[in-house]
Amino acid sequence: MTAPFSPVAARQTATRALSPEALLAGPGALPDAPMAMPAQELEHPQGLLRRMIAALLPERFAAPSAGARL
Amino acid sequence: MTPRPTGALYALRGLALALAAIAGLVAFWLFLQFGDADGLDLLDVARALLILISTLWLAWGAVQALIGLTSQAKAPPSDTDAPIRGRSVILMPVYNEDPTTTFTRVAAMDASIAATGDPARIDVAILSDTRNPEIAQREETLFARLVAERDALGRFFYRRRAQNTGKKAGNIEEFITRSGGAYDYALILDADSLMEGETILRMIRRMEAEPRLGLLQTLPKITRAQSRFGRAMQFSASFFSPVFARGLAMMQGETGPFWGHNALVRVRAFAESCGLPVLRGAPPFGGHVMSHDYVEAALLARAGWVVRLDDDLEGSYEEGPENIVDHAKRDRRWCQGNLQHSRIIGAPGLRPWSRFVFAQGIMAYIAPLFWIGFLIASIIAPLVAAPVNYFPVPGWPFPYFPPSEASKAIGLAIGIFGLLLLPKVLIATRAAMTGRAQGFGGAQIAFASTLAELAFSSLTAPILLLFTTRSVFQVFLGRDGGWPTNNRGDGRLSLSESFAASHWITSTGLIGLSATYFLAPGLFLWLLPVGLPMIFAPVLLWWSSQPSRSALMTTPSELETPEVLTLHDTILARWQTPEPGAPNPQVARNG
Repeated sequence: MTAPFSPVAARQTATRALSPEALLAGPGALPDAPMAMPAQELEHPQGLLRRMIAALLPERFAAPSAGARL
Repeated sequence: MTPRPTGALYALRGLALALAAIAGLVAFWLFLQFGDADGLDLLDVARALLILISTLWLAWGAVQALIGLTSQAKAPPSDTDAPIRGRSVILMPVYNEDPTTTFTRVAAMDASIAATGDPARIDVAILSDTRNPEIAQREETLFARLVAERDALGRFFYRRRAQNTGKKAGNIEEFITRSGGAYDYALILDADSLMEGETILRMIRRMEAEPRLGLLQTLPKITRAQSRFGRAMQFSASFFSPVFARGLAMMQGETGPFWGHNALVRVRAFAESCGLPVLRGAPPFGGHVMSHDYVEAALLARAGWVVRLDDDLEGSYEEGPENIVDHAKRDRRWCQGNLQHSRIIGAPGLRPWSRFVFAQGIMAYIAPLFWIGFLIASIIAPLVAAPVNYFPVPGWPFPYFPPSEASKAIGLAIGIFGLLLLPKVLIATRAAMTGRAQGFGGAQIAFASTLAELAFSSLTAPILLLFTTRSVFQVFLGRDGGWPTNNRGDGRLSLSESFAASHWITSTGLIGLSATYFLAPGLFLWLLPVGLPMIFAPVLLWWSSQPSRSALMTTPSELETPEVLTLHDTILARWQTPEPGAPNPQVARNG
């Protein structure tokens, strides 16, 4: 008498046939589906003290370029 | 959960802050009155300020509980049974933990999901940062067993990083940058997490029903505690924490918390918003963000995503430390992480509540310093106080005795104890009235457990206060605490281990009480409840780590084991028993 075919049992047998290394390199490896995760801004480029001093000091005007005077 | 109208939300927050501020100011005023009895000096004002800050902090916790008592956790209106469309993954980061225990947890959760009969596709990724090569080898071997047992070929994944850059946050980030595109939702767990399949499915449905929801946090209950300390924490987390969490949930609006595990994230939202930079400078304040979860919640909120705590969701579990030493080790890590947030609290564009959450986290760790400052200032106060002038009127023959303001000090002490005790007593009373206490062994046992927990936490508070103070000083001195593995399991301490971990606390208690006896004898009796637990710290550490079988501190999960825990117990028992005729995994690998 033939035993009824069980897909679950077949897959389990297939899994057992794989060595741990083969499993990890093959179907057990993470799927390849990259997603960007850009680093967020958490710190101001300048520290608090510098920002406070910068806010208190009068704004310096940019020097005109040499080309502007020509 | 329907967003609370902004006006009502701000009114509630304002009310809570106002109540806490009033309590702090009353304490400040009472102490000034007390200090003024023999003439107010600078030290009196300093002590009054320390009391103001400490009382404000205590009152804030009490107010949170009082607000939480005004409502019950409810499912959001969007809770549906709609078919799940998105793809989900359960992320289990591991770091040197016993793979048999952690992998069987994965098996139990997968079996629990399967038992619901829901056809939703939910994968599992075990993200290993394990450094120990022997444990890493066992992880690989047991992963094969896990896949075979759960019939999960192509559905369960395992990878181990060569470098554990960025620790847990880096581990998750590496997964997202490599595989995030394959999933809509990721359930982030800890190695000791367990969640019911039904809860996981409900979370995914809630996220599908609310497209603005970026993160959904559950309130995990501590389970499987065995020791006196562990069971006290378990009882507290099960009985008191839901009420405090309810208060928090009512005040936070759409700027909820992330506690790092037992939470579902929308992968796209997380990827877009939560890439963590390396902070300028060296650890402990610079380098990788340690307590990444609070920062990620703040970043999601900054990007406009809703972050929500659904405290109505049951079926979310974790394990806790079994002794005070393990608790202190974990707290050392959290302390560094929270103090590091002082670098992030001013990050551009954060929501005000997120900044407030960071401030609360920092305050939780520096508050003990205010208490210790107050105690030290009180002990040395008699040394610097001007002598009482009993003859203030020249030539008047009878002495003048300044009126005693001791009643003010007693009133202040009662008020402070009230802030500590009242919320818990009210929670127990309401539990008795609503029938919730049945899950904790009945109203009488729940009430007795509440009193026992209060007594226990009063005994351990001075010890924890010193552990936290030491952690804060270590961080301020620039010492990086690293990333020690959590001890999970028995956790029983011997007397010698307890003594080795706490002899400095004993010395501190002895010095403190001796100084009080000689410098401020009037304070001696008042400080005994603080000093004696310090002196007997080794005994308390040992005693509290021993197994407890008392009816006190009973929790619902002890009375009726949750299904997923039963599943885990069954699977774990099978895995711990070698199959007859099974090959030795080591031989199979090498053969």
